[in-house]
Amino acid sequence: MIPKMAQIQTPVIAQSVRPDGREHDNVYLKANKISVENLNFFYGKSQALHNISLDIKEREVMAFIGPSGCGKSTFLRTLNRMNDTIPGARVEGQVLIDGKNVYEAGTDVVSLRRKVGMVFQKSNPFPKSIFENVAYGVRINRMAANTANLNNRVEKALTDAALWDEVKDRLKTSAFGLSGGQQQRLCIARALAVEPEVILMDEPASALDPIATQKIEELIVELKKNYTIVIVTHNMQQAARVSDKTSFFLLGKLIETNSTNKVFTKPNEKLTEDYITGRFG
Amino acid sequence: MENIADTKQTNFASEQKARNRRRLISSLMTTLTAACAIFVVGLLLIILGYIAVRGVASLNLQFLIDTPKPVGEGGGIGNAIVGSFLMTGVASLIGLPVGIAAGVYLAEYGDGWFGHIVRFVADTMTGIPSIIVGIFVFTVFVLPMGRQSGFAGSLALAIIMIPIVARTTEEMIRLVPKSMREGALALGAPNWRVTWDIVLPAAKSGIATGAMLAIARVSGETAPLLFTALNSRFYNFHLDQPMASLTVQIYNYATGPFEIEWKMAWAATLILMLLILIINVAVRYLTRRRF
Repeated sequence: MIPKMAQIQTPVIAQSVRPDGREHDNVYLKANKISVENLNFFYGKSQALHNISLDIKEREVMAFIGPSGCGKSTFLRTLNRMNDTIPGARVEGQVLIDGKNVYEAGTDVVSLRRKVGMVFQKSNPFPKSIFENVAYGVRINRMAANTANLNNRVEKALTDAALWDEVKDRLKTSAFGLSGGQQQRLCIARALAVEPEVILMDEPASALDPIATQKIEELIVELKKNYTIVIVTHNMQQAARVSDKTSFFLLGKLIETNSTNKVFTKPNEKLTEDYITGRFG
Repeated sequence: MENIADTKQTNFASEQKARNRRRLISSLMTTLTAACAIFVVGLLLIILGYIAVRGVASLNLQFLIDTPKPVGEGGGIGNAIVGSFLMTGVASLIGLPVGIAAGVYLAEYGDGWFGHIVRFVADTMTGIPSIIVGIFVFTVFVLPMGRQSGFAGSLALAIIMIPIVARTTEEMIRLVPKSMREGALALGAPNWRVTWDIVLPAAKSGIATGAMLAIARVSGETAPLLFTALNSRFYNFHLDQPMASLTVQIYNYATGPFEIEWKMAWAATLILMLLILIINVAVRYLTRRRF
């Protein structure tokens, strides 16, 4: 049964370019990587997320937009259970990743987080060298068999994060010596080094200048080839530039999910249109 | 037209007045706080300078090596230096690991009722007069053992150290940004590894400062050693026997009837101060921020 499924899926992805050369809207044909069903989230007694259901396909970029405090970051953090560390936080509903509910009793949070990596709003390098920052995840997950392998993994992660050329001569120096944009790409490299399948990004460019932001955005488009990416952003242009699909959140509710193009040109919901056109937010 | 010009003039004048007032208060307060800072540092420098001047007079190599002798035959503090080092060292070996571990617990898991109790007890213990700790160790350790010993002294010093180290460690760990922990958790690091690999190294220099303060505090303690380590006139490396210490030796010399003894007390005080200073600088150098 399982090999059969794989046989069916492969040609579907291969058909993503139509005979006339234009790209197929194949987004709906890919498999669901993440599937959220009726998710409610509470901080103590106050409910932060209301009954959210949402599918994210594999190897697509999903952007979450919405005004401050609308719950988009909270929702992002439910996907790799980062909210577990908050006292009084409570979740109802299901988050299926590859069909498996991550809130099921007995879920190994450590391996979940290895599979679902995260990049934060403020770059948060460890007080270690550049090399050790990237190597840390590889070490704790015992992924490298020997030093040569570890070096390779670190180089590959830094290369994938478009940082290798800038730091290859100073790997042993402190990560705090890097610029803000470089630190953020280092954090992305750190997340890539453990070979996740999904990368969650919580406003990864909000503290960066336009040039560093552009680099991160180019990187996201590049990473899409291999990873499923979920990005929270305040910047609607950014969402329009990097994402395939966009979800609009308001007051803890998911108002609309659609292809990015649709959301920014002809949204289904009046509320989305009001937000996009700047009538509130 | 004239009226408007007048109003503008008045506004300008009152603005100028407000600004002058603001500047005056600002410079007044700056001067006041600076004066207090100078007073604090000055007081410390006067104490240090006075001890240095009085101490240097009777300081020589023989004094650092010799054991105490009957008045008139010289004598020194060699055995007291060794005793102080031994007892402070052993106290640190017991007190620092326990204190730091307790601090980690309080910072990472100490939000429940148990943490509150531990914190309250630690704060209370910091305020207990050190002589009471001496009497306590005398009662529960020295009496059953049958004699005073260097180890009993170390134990008393360790008990004084633990709450100080625990509380400063906790404060320092709480200063480590939450984002740094989350970064490690998001890579799939279990809690204990986050604490060990990320939080402790990030708080390292702060914890070392706390440890230093604790060591400096106990190396200046006399009262808890009087009952526990007693004193000794000989070089002694056995922790199960009474042991000399700089502080108790200073006390003995200073309370003696002869001027030569008072001079030796000053010299010993200078040495004690210098040793604490050296340890302080060394630890700061070793735990300086490298990353």
